[in-house]
Amino acid sequence: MALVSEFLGQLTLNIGGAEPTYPTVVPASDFDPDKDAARIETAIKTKGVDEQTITDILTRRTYNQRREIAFAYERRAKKDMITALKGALSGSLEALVLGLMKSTSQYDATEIKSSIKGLGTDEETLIELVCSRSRSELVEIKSVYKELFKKDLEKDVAGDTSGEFRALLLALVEAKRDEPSTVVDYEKIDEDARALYEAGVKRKGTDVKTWISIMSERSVPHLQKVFDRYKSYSPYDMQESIRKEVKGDLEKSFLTLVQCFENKQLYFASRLAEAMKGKSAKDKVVTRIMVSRCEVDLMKIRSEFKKQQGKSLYQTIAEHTKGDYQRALLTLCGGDD
Amino acid sequence: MPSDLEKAMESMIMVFHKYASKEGDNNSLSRRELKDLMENELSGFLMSQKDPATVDKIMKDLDTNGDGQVSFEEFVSLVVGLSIACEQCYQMHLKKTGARK
Repeated sequence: MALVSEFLGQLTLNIGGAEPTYPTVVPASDFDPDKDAARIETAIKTKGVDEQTITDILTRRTYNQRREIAFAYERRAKKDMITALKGALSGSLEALVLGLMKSTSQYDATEIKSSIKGLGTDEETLIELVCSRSRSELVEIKSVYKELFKKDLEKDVAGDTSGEFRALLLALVEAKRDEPSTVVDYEKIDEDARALYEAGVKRKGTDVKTWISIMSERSVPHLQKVFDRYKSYSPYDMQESIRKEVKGDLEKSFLTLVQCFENKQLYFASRLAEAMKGKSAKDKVVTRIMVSRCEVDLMKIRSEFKKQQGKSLYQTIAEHTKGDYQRALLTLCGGDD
Repeated sequence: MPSDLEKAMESMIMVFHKYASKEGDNNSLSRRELKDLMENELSGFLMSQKDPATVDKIMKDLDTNGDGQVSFEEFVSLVVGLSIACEQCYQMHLKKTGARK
């Protein structure tokens, strides 16, 4: 079958499926959960609370190790460690430490919940979370969300948003994205690129539905090639086209999606830079990104940050935060660049 | 009279040994032998990869026990992976040419 020779010429190597991770927080060697639990118990009981010890321990352990410490704590103190920490800490430090004690999907689910809770919606946070998480992460988040809050994530998101913005978020939350495949479908890439162009820049107005379906259903490697091919049809690249065609939350969401497809760590680096512009810092955003990425790709985010800002993430955090909260962030950061 | 499948299996074994016996251990492929094999037996595939480090990446991926040599077992996974991908292409090809399976 001469066909095999032909097919082999069409394959693109996709070695080592999962993306290499660059965490800054790694398992502590010679880990002793009982010792850590004892030290934390003492720190909490200390007059004025020894925040430094609590922070120093918890920011130098991985999530799994922190859980072991929590179990050890409960065995010796007969109390729930998280409740004890809540009582002992406050402000941004408390939020950070409590975030560290949650699993990635628990943390994401809780952050999404707080962004849609109550009157009004924190769209920026909602966009950041829904548009940057992968299909499998969203599947996990949905199930944890249901466990924690007894509600469907889709229903809650639908209830708090409207119009095409809602349609995009729901399409992403549905998590029907294709798995990446070794086979490069050049025809489809071309088809999709043309469809995106014809639905947007080419015509008056925008056929948002087409954009939504292509960007929420195709695999990420496929989309990366589509955006490349797109440039041969459109005078503007995908990000510029988005800025020209749509506005508001819809624009922010599409931009976030595309930025994450192209370079997720650069996206997070930009978010961090934005959150620390000016004198103070948007603690919530900084905490969330540092906590949720420290065991994933914070190292790479650091290098993208340095490239883009000309200054290290470490320095920037040092300048814009203070106290034990700053200590915690700097430890999670892992070092200066 | 060997069946088609038996012939295919025989080819895999013969091809492997043809290149593995060129130097050192005759039952495993060194990096150079692997490169030789791929350049001669999988040239179409190799040439369509833009990355010049492809052979090294494949070597690293196949050498699961990290001994710097690719055994027949380790080699076979490359053949399997490529076959699966080709079969996917074949299915797409059938769909596009409107042929019924």
